[in-house]
Amino acid sequence: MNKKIFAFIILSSLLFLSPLSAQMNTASDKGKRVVKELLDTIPLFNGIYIGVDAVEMVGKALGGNTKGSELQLDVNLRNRFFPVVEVGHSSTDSESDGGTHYTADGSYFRIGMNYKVKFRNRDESHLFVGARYAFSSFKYNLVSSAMTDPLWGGTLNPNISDDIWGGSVPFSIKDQKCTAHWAELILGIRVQIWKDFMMGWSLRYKRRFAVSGNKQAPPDYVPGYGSNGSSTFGGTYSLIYKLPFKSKKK
Amino acid sequence: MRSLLSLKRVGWGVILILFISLVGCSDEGDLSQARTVCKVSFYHKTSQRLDTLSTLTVKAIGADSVFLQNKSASSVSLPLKYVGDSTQFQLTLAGQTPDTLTIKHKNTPHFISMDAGYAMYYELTAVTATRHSISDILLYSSTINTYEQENIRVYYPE
Repeated sequence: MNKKIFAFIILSSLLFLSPLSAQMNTASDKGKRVVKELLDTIPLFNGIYIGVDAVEMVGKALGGNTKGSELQLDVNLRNRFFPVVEVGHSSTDSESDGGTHYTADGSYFRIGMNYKVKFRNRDESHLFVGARYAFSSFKYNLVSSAMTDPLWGGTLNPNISDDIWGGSVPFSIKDQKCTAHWAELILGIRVQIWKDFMMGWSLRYKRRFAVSGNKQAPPDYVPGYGSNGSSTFGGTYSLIYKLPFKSKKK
Repeated sequence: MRSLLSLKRVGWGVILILFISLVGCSDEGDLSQARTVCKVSFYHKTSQRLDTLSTLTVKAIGADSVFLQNKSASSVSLPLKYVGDSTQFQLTLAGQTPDTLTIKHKNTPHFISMDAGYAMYYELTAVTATRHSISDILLYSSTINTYEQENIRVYYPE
């Protein structure tokens, strides 16, 4: 008797659920058809964009310690995915209040993808999120200046000066080669200014994987990354031009 | 573009950027780099347990500094020389003959950051002491860096 009741419950459940399931499948299929029809009208290739990062150029002009240049190249796929490559060169020259002189010079490379938010919108202007893998190779110098006593003779390095026992220690690292790897998460915006000219801004969270260099003196600044910490924030301001390739429209 | 640059969206964007720039920063870079020290702990010779010595005085030999003056202590943190491979201290219990503690070390300066400056790291190579009050001495950990740890154990009788 129990087996019959159980079988009746199972069979009636299946009969009840099947229309609902059919309706859900119908809605899902319809949604998929709409997206497919929409995507079918957007060509795979929709243009190539080339840009330059103006942040460090502007920063140097305003009296900053760092100068550099960066070239960006991305491709519009389906108006949704933007594979991107960024190549740059950066240098810095700074001095601490105590007289430590740090210089670094090198190149960096980033590869990744941007994803256009609201990709159904055909406008060039859009919000995007993205990710990058980045690598930098550079050299740096770190010199702690020593002071010479013109009256009594001798030299003193105020940066490593022993205020208990007396005396000081010189410190100098020159032409130290170094590499660094890191990842970036990006939130950005691209705005069409006039025809094929655009501006772009991005906010970047950077997480360092590894950095080599001298164990006694790790680099203070990494080209493309910024101040050498396990993580940091950065931003870009870019001037962008869409190259005149014509895409086939369906 | 018509809705993208609405005042509302630009306003929220500015607020977001300001918020992130205020809270987001590198999570390293101690702005005040304290001097590294050699930690000396005191133990009972027999029980091998940590001991609190009363009326202990610790002075530098070759400098005017006094690190402990007639105080109770179970350990003391002592700065080693930047220049030279040996540093000496005088340890005195009230009413007893002073002992001389000699620490031999290798010095390696380290750059921390432009803001924090430098720190001297050490590798202790040998430790000796006179035996007026001190029973024994042990080099427990030879590394001295920014992470303070017990380096030397000095044993006194019960």
